[in-house]
Amino acid sequence: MKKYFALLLWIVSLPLWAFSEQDLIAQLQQSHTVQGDFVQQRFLKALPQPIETKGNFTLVAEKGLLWQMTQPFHTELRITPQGIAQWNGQGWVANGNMAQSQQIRLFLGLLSGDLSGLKSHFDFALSGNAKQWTLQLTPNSLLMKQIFISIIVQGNQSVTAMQLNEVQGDSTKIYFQHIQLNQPLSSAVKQALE
Amino acid sequence: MSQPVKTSKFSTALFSMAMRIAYVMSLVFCTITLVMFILRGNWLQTDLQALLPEDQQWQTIQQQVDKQQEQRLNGKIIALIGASSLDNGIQLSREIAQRWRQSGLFRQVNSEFQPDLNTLRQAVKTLAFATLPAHIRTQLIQQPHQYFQQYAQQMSNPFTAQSILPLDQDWLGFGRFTLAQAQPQSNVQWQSESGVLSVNGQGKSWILLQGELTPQNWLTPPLALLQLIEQNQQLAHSQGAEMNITGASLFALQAKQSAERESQLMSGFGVGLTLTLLLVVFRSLQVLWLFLPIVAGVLVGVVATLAWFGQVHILTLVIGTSLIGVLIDFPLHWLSGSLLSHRWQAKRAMQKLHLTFSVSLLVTLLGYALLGFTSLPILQQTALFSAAALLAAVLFTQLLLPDFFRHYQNKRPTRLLYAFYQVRRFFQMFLVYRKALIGIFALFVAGGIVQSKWQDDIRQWVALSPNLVSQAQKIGELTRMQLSGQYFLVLAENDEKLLEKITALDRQLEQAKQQQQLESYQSLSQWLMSEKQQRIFAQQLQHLSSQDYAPLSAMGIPAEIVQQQLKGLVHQPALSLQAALNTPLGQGWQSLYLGQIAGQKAAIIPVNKGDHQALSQLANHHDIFWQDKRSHLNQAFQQTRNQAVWLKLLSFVLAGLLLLRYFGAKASGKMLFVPVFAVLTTLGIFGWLGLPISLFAMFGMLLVSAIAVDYVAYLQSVSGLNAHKQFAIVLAASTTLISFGLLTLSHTPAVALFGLSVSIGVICAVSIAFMMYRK
Repeated sequence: MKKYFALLLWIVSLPLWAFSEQDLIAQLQQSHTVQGDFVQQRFLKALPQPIETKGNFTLVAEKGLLWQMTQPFHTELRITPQGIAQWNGQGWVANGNMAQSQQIRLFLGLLSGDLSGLKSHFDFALSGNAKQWTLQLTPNSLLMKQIFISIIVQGNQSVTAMQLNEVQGDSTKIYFQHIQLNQPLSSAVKQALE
Repeated sequence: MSQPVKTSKFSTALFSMAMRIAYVMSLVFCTITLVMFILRGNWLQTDLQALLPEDQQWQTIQQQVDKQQEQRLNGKIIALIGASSLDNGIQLSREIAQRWRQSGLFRQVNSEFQPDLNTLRQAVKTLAFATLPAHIRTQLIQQPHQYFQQYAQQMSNPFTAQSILPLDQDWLGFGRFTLAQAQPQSNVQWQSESGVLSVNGQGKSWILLQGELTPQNWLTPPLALLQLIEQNQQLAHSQGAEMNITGASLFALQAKQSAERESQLMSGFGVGLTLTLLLVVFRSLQVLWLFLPIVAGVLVGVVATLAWFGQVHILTLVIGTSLIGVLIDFPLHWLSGSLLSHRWQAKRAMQKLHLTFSVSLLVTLLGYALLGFTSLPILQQTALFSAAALLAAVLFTQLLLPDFFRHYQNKRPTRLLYAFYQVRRFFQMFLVYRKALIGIFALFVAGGIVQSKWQDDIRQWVALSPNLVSQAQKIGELTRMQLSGQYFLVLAENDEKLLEKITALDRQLEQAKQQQQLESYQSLSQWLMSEKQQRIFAQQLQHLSSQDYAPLSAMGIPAEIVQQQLKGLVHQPALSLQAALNTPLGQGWQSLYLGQIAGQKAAIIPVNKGDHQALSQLANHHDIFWQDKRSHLNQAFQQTRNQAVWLKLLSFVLAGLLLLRYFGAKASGKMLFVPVFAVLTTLGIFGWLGLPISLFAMFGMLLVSAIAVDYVAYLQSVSGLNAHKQFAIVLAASTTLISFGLLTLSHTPAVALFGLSVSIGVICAVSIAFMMYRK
């Protein structure tokens, strides 16, 4: 009986030590660069149709994220730990609003696997395995509780989808497709992020 | 025959006995009074207010507002805590705020502002339209398409903080700007996630911590505050962080401490050095008695000041203690006679000096009395203190001192006298070329006076510690918060008119800013449109077409909704200033609105680094006033100094009349020449040294002329060898130089200049007096 009980425990705890938070962080941080397309849908209570935007993105570890929107219009954004900048045709114009630092940290943290900074605002719940995992973030800080109900991130080698559910009833879904890991960067992208 | 003589002698003795008893009684009375004042407490004045001239130019309302502003700033303590990361900074600032709260020194401590999001949303909804920033309004009128394009971009951008209002409560996107406008223009930003106010700069994240001291700690903060701050700074240091702190109270506390330290040091050093000198010269412990007149003088001086002003200022004490060197001149003149003659008798020597003392005393008292007419409390105090101290010291010398020296064994300081003769002979060689020397000297003095700068600056009055100044500067640089005392005061009959006036002035200030006449300013019109402006702007937006807001349609927002929203703007009631200020987001702006003052509504527009000359042109002294405390004070100082100059001239005239009565025309002309020339020479030397002739330097010159008259009266009226008299004067001058030379080391520039002007003046007075009186 005792033997079976131990076996049962081992089976139950299998997913836990099979794929832990540390594993997830390590796995996400393996990729030096991530490139691909994105589709973003913002579901607003006030509108029957979601606002949909499309484009492609490049994530370079330790450097930042290039977010090139192509639909419904062209916009290029560069997101680095220093802040957000927008390409105005001639150069990068910093978007000098410090209040966004939290948002930036949240995003870069989720995409690149740097979860340590998010611990002070969210509780984590990880399920699945290395090939197909889901991370659910539940806000624990007063402020985040006022904004988000939950954030759900899904992925494999890298993040494939993200869903942000806001308290007001709005939500945002972002899908990442055609992902290429550790591929050489185009010179334009290099210039933007290096 | 001998009977009447006897009775007269007897009656004089009786009279002098009565005088002495009365004098001792009054000293005892003074001591009791002093003890009572000290027991009552609050007898020492340390605030800087007393250093300021009484106002002679500002209107009542200006003074009233100025007082209000000072009150507001007085209790404020602002700290900026810089750490390598925002989170570390927040941790540290929380810890420090906690310690502040526990200290019990603060009425309130503002570290975090965590509003409820719903309240905040409500406030944003109320303010969104009326507080649209000017550049956004311009964009909406001139390039509406661009406005909606940017709005659509932001909506689709997942990284920017979405507007605090959901889309269906803010279709036009006005609410996106409201939070950023909640802080009057400064670099400080409110971090919604932690609730702190922070700013990035110089490679660090800085957290702003603000506290307000309890009112009783405003002007005389306790030492506990300094200890608390020191602990805070050590704590920050131990975590590799940095804390800058500033506040009017800190400057006051620091100035008080340095003044106290200085007055103790200076009186200690002064007494020590003077005593050493006297012991070397007289070689008898009995010289200790010479300090009795000084003790009596300082005692009476303090009591007189307390009785008249209720308090005595610390600076009065600093300057007062330096008078030790002057007060001891009288007993020295008398006792130095013993060095030169074997048949010296205490009482008889004193009687001989009676005339000399009376003249010097009268001339000096005259100078002080005139000084009392200046409109500067600190000078009035110093004048009263000095006059009372001098009177008491002279009386003590005359009435009581001889009794202490009844059996005094005088020793002739042969070696010292011999050395003095040698030096004197050396200098007399030059007197052969007297005429040439005087010519060169006169040219030198004239050249210096031509160069002399006559100016006063309030900054010279306070020993500003470089450490505190640099911290305040750093806070100013990083936050761009206005810490200078310049502002416009605007008055109007109601809020709406007030806002309209401010808007008009705002345009002029914007021009002034472009012409670099000011660095920055904060006005209510930067935040809120007047009701009239709101109505006009709502009308202007009616011209927008569906092409203008096409970017929103591209995002899927129906054009009808946008149109409806724009129409609605015309029908909503305009937002009043009161209603705007009463929202949680209006708190930051409330300090600019003064409300009802003297039957009018008033507001201020703080200005940073404004050019006094240019900006005062924008005021009309009717409903727009330019308030620049520092320039205003410096002007008042200038007036006071000019007053002092005239009074000084008057004192020369009066002294001349007085001397005329005692010594006749020829002698008194010669006597007056010495102080006048000593003062002129001092002015000339100050000119060459490039030092400003400030009010206190003037005060120093006044003292110099009194001292010079004292020397000259002694040289003129005492019979004896010229060399011996000169020796006595050099001795007296040495004690004066000791105490005023020490003052030059003061950290308070005004006090140091005062010491320097007296020191230079005394040297000039002695040299000129010796040149004039060579018989």
